[in-house]
Amino acid sequence: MKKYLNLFLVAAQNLRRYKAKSITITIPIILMMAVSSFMMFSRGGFAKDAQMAREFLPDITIQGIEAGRVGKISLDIIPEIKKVPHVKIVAPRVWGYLPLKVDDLDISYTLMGLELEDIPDNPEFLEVMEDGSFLVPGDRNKIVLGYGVAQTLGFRVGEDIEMALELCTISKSDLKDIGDEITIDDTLGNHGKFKVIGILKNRVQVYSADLMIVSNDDARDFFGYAKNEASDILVYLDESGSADRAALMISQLFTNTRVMTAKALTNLVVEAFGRRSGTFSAMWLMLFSTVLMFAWSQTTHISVDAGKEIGILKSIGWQTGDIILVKMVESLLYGFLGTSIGILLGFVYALMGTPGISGYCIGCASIYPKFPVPVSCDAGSIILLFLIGVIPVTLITAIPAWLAGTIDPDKAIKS
Amino acid sequence: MFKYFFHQRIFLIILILQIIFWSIYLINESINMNYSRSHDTQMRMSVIKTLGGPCIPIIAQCCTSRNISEGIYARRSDLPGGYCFHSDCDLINTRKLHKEKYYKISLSKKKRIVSQ
Repeated sequence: MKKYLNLFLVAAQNLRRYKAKSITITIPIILMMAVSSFMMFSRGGFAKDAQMAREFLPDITIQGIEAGRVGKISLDIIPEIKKVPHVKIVAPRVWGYLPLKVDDLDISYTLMGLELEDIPDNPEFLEVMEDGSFLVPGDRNKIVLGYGVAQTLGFRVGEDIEMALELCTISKSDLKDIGDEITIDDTLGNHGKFKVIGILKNRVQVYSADLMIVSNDDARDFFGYAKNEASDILVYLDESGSADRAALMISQLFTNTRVMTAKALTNLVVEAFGRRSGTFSAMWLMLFSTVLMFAWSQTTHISVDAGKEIGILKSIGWQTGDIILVKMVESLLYGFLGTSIGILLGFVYALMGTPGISGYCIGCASIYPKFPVPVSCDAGSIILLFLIGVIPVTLITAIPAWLAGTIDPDKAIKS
Repeated sequence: MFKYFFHQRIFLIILILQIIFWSIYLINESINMNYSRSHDTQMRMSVIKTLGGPCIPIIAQCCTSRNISEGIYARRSDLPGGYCFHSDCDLINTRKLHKEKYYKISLSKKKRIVSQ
C-alpha cells in the first residue's frame, strides 16, 4: 500500500516538474469538459423546469382537429366532458399567433385569451407584474404584455428605458406608458385596440416573452371566432393520477379531437431539449476525439530527460510495472484536474447565462432579449461527466505508458 | 502518510475545486431550482398556472417541420408559447435581434505599392 501511495506522490511531482507538458494536456481537457458541462447544465435546467411545471399544467388539453390539422374546437362538447369522472374544471382558451410588421421587422407574437372568471387561485402571480396590474374578471379591451413585446412596442419598462431607447427608433418622449392604448393590426388583417394595463417581469420571459394576454372574449373578437368556439379546452381533474384514463375516455367520446395529458407535454419538452443538444453532442464528440488523440501524442513523446530519468529509475530497481503505473497515474491526474476545472467553469458559465452563445445552449439559435435561464443537472449525470472526462484520457495513455515502461535503461541513459 | 498528499499541490487544488463545485451545485439545486425557496421558480410556475397552459417552449413541431412553404406558423407549435429557436426563423424578436444581426460590408481601396 505504501509503495502505491509513493508512486502516486511521484506522479504528482512529475506533473509539477514537467509543467509545460502538464498545461498542454490539461487545457484541451478543460475546454472539452467545460463545453460538455455547460451544455448539460443548460439543458438539464429546462428539463427540470418542465418537470416541475407538470403539476401546474392542466391535467388534459383538448384541441380540435379540422381536416387533419389543428383548428378550432366547439364548446358544445364541454357538458359531455364535465360528465367524465374526476373532471373538476373545464376552461376554454382562445389564442393564436400574431404576425406583425413593426417598422421593418417581421415579428410573430402570441395573443392569449383567458377565461378571467376561471383563473386558478394564484397569489404568487401578483409578483409577476413588472408594472401595472393583471386582468380581472369583466375586463374588456385591456391587455397585459410580456416584457419582450413591451420593449419592442416602445413601452417604458423597468430599468431598461435607456436600452429600449437605444434599440428603438423612437425618442424618449415617444415612449409609451401603462394606460396607453395600442392598436394591433396583424398582417392577416385582424384588428384590435387595447389599453395596456400591465407588463410581465423579465424574470418570467422564458414563458412569456412573446405573450399578449387579453380576455377570452377579446381574443374571440380579434381572431373572428364564434361564441361557441375556442382554440383549445383545458381540463383540470380532482385527481391527477387518473389523467390517462380520463384522456382516453375523452378521446373515445369525441371524434376530431387531439387529447394531450400534462405528462405527455412534459415529456415532449424534455425530449425536445434532449434532441436540441444533438449539435452540441456532435461538436463535443469531435472535440473529445481530438483531445484523446492530443493526449496520446503528448504522452507518447518522451523527452531525452524523461527517458534518462526512466533509465536511472529502472537501473536502481524500479520495475516496468512501476513506471507504467506512474505514467498512468499522471494521466489520471491530468484527467481529474482538467475535468474538475472544466466542469466548474462550464457550470459557472451556465449560471452566468452562457454569454455569447446563449442561443445555442437554450435552443438552436435565438431567444431575445436576454433573460434568466434555469440551470440544473442531476448528480448522477455529473458523476458520469467525471467518468467521461477521466477514464478515456487515462486509458488512452496506457500504450504510451507501456512504451515508456519498456525503455531499455542502458540506451536511455547513454542517449 | 496521507498528509503528504496534501503537500502535493495538485491534490489540494483538485480537492478545493471539488469542494467549490459541489458547494455551488448544492446551493443552486437547493435554492435556485427549489420551488419552495426560489422566488424566480415560483414566478415561472405561477405564469404557467395562471395562463392555464403549456406555455413551455415546446419546439417539437419546429424540429420536425422545416418546410417554410407551410407559412408563418410552420415552425411554431400547436400549443401556445412555443418559441421557434431557429436563427433563420427570427419570428419572435425585438429590435435588439435586428441590431445584433446587422452587418455592414464596405470596400476599402488598397494603396498601390509602387516598387522602386
